[in-house]
Amino acid sequence: MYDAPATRRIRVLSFDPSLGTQIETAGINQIILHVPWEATLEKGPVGEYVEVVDWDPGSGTFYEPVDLNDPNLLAQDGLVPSEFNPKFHQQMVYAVAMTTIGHFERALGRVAFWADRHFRVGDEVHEQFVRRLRIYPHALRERNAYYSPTKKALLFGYFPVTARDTHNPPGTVVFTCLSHDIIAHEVTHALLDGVHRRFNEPTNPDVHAFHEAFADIVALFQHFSYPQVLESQIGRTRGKLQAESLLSQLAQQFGWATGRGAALRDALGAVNPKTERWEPTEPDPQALLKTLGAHARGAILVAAVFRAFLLIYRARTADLFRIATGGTGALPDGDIHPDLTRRLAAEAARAADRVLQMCIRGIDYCPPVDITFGDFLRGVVTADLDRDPDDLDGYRTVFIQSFREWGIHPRGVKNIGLDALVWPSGDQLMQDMAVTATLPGQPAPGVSPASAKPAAKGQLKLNLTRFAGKWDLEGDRFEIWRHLRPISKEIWKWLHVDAEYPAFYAEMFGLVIGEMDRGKPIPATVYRSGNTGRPSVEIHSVRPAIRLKANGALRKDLVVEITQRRRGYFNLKEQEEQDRGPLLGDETGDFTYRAGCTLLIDSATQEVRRVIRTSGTITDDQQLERVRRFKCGESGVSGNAFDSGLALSLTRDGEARDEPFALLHQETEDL
Amino acid sequence: MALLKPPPDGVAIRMYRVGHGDCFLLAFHSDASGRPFYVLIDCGYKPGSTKFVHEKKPSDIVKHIADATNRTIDLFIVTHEHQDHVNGISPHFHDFTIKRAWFAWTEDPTDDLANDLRRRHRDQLVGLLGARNALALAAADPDNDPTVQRLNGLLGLEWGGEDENPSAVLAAAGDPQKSVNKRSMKLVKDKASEHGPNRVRFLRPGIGPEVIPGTNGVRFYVLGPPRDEKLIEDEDPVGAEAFPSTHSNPFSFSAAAQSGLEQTPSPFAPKYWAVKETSEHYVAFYGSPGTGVNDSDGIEALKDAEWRRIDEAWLHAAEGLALKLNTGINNTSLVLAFELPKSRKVLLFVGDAQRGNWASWANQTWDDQGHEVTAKDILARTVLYKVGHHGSHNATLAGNPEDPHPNLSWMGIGQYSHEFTAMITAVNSWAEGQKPPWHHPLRSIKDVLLRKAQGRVFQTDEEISRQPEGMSDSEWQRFQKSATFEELFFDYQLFDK
Repeated sequence: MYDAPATRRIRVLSFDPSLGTQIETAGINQIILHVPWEATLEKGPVGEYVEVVDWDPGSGTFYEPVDLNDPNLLAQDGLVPSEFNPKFHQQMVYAVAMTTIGHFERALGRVAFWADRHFRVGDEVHEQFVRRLRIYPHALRERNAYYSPTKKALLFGYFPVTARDTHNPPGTVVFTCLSHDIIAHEVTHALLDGVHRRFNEPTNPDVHAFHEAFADIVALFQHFSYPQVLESQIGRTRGKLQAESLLSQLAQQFGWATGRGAALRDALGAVNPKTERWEPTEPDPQALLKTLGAHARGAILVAAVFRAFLLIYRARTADLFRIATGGTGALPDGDIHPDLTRRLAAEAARAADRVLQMCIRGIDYCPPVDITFGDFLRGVVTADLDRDPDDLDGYRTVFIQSFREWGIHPRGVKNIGLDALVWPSGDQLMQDMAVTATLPGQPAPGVSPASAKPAAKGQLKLNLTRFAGKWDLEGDRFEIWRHLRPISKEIWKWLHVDAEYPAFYAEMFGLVIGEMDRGKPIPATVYRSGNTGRPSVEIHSVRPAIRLKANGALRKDLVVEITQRRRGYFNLKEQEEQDRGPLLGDETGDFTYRAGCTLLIDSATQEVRRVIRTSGTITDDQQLERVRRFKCGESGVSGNAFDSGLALSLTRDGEARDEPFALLHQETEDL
Repeated sequence: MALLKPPPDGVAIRMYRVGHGDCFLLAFHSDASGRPFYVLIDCGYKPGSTKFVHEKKPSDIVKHIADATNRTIDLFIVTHEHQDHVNGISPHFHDFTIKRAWFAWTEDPTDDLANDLRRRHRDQLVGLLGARNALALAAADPDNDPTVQRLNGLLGLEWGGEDENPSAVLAAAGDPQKSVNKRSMKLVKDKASEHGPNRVRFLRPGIGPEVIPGTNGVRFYVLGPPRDEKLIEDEDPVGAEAFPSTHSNPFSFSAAAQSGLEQTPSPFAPKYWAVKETSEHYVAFYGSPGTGVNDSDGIEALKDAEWRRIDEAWLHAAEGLALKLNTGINNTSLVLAFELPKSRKVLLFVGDAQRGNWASWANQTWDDQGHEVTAKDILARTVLYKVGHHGSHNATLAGNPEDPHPNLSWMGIGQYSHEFTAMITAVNSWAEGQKPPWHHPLRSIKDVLLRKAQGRVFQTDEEISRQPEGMSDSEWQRFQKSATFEELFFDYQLFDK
């Protein structure tokens, strides 16, 4: 008997088929990924996390699934890349998807979960566990690929190149499932949806842009984990990663095929239409104010993160350049020494990995709805602080600097020093409230908040320890899922029944749970619990996060997301009328306004370590108006002339078809 | 009923309340004494929207036009070929006399660029109709399926007609050359041609200033649509040299949607095809419709779950493509500025021009007897603005005076600002009831227009019966004198002084 190998070697295209057609990139066209060995991998491939189903409805054909366990394939690292063999397409989507999932699991310290399937049966909401993300490599006949939150599936399209493409011969068919970047991008959408299922509900111009940017960031930094590609590009740019290179570009073939004359996206620069030469894009603090389309806006976040990476890379390689140049810093003409290339590549890989891990960790530290780029910055900085309080390498400082240079400011934060950016802890909020606690009736007379705190902690501890032992990362994911489910109920109970001062906690967490809100009646449009008649509280995500801190300690957190919802109306007068109530029957309003918080709870001490609130509570009329204006297209988000930039047909709650990413990714050019 | 008459020293503008669509009658003084010179700009509406305004029918509006003009239109202008601009024409204008007709250059049968553009639009429409019909066939209840409904609304604009539910019409639609919209276009061309060889004009941007023949010196400028290669560059290689014999590449969306599933080729060789029924993998994960249903709470979702099927997903691309086609046609809108002879005040009619069309206006100048006129000059003198595309997003550009692209801030400057008035052809109550809702007009655009026009904003479904906020008492009195609000129309008078 032999031990199973740790990894399975699988060939993929490093970018997409276009690299193989040009001599300067042909050498790095193909790479071998080391994917975790799955003993139970079936034909498809179908593993623990993904299932590839190759049904092509546009031509009514089903393609034979690849069998990666076939000895002939095992012996040669899978099929040789081929555009004409659908089995290679299946192999590639599997391998790239698994690589991306690996980055997530390592950063978040838990097994990856896909978004649950939620649906209504009568009045009840049912949840089902979705073990595998489904991948349809040939689902669409269009210049599109998207993640479907309702199907928990990736749908890839294929299409003939346009007449405007000068790169590919006419008649070439482009398969989006053969683009490393598009696969990584779509898998990231699915992974992010598994963490924050409300991040595809646009309530401000950043929400969809964030989804896009985050998916691009993961795809971009994944390039740096392939040494062969990295070294070739370091060599080509002579170590100057701020120059044009494949590393900062996404989806080359797709970009050419759709007539752009360049890659689909580039985090560093663009071809100047006047000179027709590539030029770097300088940080522009005004860019966010002028840019509202999801992709263009997302590109600003990507550029900010990529710039942070470049600043780190430059600082960390300054010594190498000094050594190589005898201190002048000026490299002689010609190729750089292969040893220098390897050393620079190692530094670039390390910095890129760190930046990617910081970004992924940051998503546990984001509000449950209505994310902004500024929230994300706060999340990244706070998560990194929790991991490593010292920041000797200055990674956090660089993030803050780069975001500032791109004009990304968190809302409601007056200065963007580190202290102001870090999300508050439960302790801090209690202390702040102890000073300002003058709310009518709260806290209870004679009880200082300070003395209320231990009671709260104790309460939480009592209930959580029963579950704590069952979060281990090695078990069956469905078993873990089943163990996590009851915690939602415990948290709900804690907020409503067990907490000694419910209104006090509500205030602290940005929730409204009593019968009154600060002495005022609660609008009738706020959704209420059928049993209690009080505003309903949805605890829709409870997940463990186990991380190795920089000092070697293990931190086990529980991440909890809590939201409330309210019916919103496009017409302000109607809103006011409905707010007064009583509501008629199953009134759902024109849109749903949500507010709430994300809590990070230390599973060992039961301390509320971080409180991340949305910008207003569910009763906040100003925030509701802001969302209303956005939903009515007031932000001028670029889009179509009917629903003003919001693909409402595809995102309405409860509509038969709910595909927020389908139109978002569709090739549209606003002439 | 009386003829529409311009005031002694001015022009009468009548905005017909035909529904969610455009129909304007302008009465200028003619060069001879006697009868006024009548210009009709478009006549169309979205079926079903009229009843949100009044109980009369669009045919009653055409009867009213007949009485107001004595059935003689001196100049009929069709801005672009969309249902809500032309569907009132072919059924109701047979007994009218049309002396002249103007269209955008994109309608010119002798213009190669225009022919390419129209062929492209036709091919797109054929593909979209195929997709719509395939989706309708697959839907359990097509009349309540959101995507089919959305496509009905959008493709109805392209096809035309007066049916409130276009399902049957679209299902039976064949060659777009025979669409209801085309019939309207043809009727106007045929009638004008009866009066002489040069009575139908196809206007290119840059034309003007020219006196409208037959008027008392009213001049016009053509601002759009742009003659831009981009308008005909397509992402699908339709009609490109690569595929001379077919409509499009066999692997394109359009080809597949048109030909139905059986005949569409797969991009892969048959040796890779599996027999679905006997493939273990297929049966386990895709099963057949109706299998894989278990709605229990707390379980692991089934492998062959029904809700993960994607059979029609690829056809949904039609929605985005339909929006794109719609924008394309809107951008072929003829954009005209009428200039009154003495005061040089401008009436700006933009049809449904969207961003691409707007942005092009500043690409040319006009030669007025050696004097260069820019788009900025023309917009600055605008005192009446027919708001683009029902006041939608992207059809009125916001911006600043110093921006390179024409925008609202360029309009009604200086002495012309006191009179600046806007007309929005939108039935908001109907539009918001569409699924998904059409935000026509967009609140932010309406707000900025109201501010700019100090309240002088006409909207099809709203009568201005109270003094708008911000309008002074004297201005309100003046406005009341020049504006009339009737069930079927709004009248507004502009004075040439």
